Amino acid sequence: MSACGNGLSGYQKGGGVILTENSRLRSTSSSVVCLLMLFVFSLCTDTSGTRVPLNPTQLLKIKKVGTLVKKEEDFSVRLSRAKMSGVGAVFGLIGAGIEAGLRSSNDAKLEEGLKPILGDYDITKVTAENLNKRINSQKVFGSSDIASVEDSEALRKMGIDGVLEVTFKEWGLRLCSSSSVLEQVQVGLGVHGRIFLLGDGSTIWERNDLYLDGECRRVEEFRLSEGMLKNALSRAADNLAGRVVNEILFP
Amino acid sequence: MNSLLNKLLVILLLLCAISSGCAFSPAHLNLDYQSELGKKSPLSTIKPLTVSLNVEDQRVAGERDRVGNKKNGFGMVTAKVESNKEVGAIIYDAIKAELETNGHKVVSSKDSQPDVTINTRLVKYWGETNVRFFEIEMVATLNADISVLNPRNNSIAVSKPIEATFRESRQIATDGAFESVLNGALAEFIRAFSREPSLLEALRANQ
Repeated sequence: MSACGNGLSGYQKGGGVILTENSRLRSTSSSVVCLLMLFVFSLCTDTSGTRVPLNPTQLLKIKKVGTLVKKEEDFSVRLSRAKMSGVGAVFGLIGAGIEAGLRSSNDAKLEEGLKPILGDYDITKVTAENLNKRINSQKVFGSSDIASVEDSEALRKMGIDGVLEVTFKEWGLRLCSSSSVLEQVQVGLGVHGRIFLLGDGSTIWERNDLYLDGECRRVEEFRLSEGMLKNALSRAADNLAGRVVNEILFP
Repeated sequence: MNSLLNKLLVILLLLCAISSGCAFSPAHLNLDYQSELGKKSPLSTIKPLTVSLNVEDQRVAGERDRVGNKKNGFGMVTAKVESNKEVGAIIYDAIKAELETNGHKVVSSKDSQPDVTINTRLVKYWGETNVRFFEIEMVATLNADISVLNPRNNSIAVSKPIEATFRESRQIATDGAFESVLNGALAEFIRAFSREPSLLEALRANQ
């Protein structure tokens, strides 16, 4: 029996399980040992930054890479949500929940006001094109192509043997924390990037990043100025592509 | 059985007490950027520059004398988390180390004419604990605006905010945990600085 087993080592009588004093002791002590092991093993776990560091020799296994860009959420504004006052929390979890809900609702109104300006703007397409351009110009891999599908069989047919997958966890506008003018926002892109081999599906690089554009403006300016939001998003997407490529070239 | 359990409990409590330090006494941390020996970044692709480096501490008043707060289980602040070294100097030394590892020279603008000036405006350097059901999440953030200037006319070539966050999941928020997570954020900040395309482009334009 393993140390973390159920500790049943008594004898059976009449179909029931009767534990002796010794087996109870063993059961209790094994539970304590399990708790201690759990405690020690969970002492420290990294949960941000580079999750799987890249070994440059592994890059050589990829002759042609497919750049696959996905998004997990729609365009968002994080203005009111970023200014949680803590007033709600004074009334406990329910109060904090109510405040968070109200603030999310305020941000949703701003999002709805900006979405018509974006029209059919596709952040994934823009980023994939920028990534592909930078990978080819900096010769990170033998060659690169935009992967428009996730089906590995279809990717193999394109001659692709590795995939650089960038997933937008967040894309939109965020509160400028460093701005001296209140209520200004900037483009923020929260991404999860990874490279995996199509052969065995193993991940050879993985990293989380939050990219901030730095040009802070009021939401109204983004709403009223023709093309400003799309330009800011595209500039940020291009810089993000550059950052990703630099991360791969200099792991 | 009871005596065995009691012994184990005492051992567990002692372990917690020893490893967690005192929640009511200030923590004094040694914050430092450890550059990996010989590890180059994209900064090494730029012809060697002489750089004048300035760091301005613009953190809000309530965060100037500390880099975090110790809290009890109810979220009340019990003690300060302080850095043994001045925070501005930590950031300065970290950027300087990264530039020098990649072949550049940091000079004083008074002594010689630099090729380029890098100004850093530190906005936030803060570590905090979020107590969850099964774990204590330690989060550190370092925010700064970095500007690259032409020293001849002081024109700004580019200004970029760099926001670095580092998270760890722990069972006890020791002084060492604060140190680890704040050093992690510093390392992430330097990593982002040295890989930011717009900053690299501006530095390249001055070579």
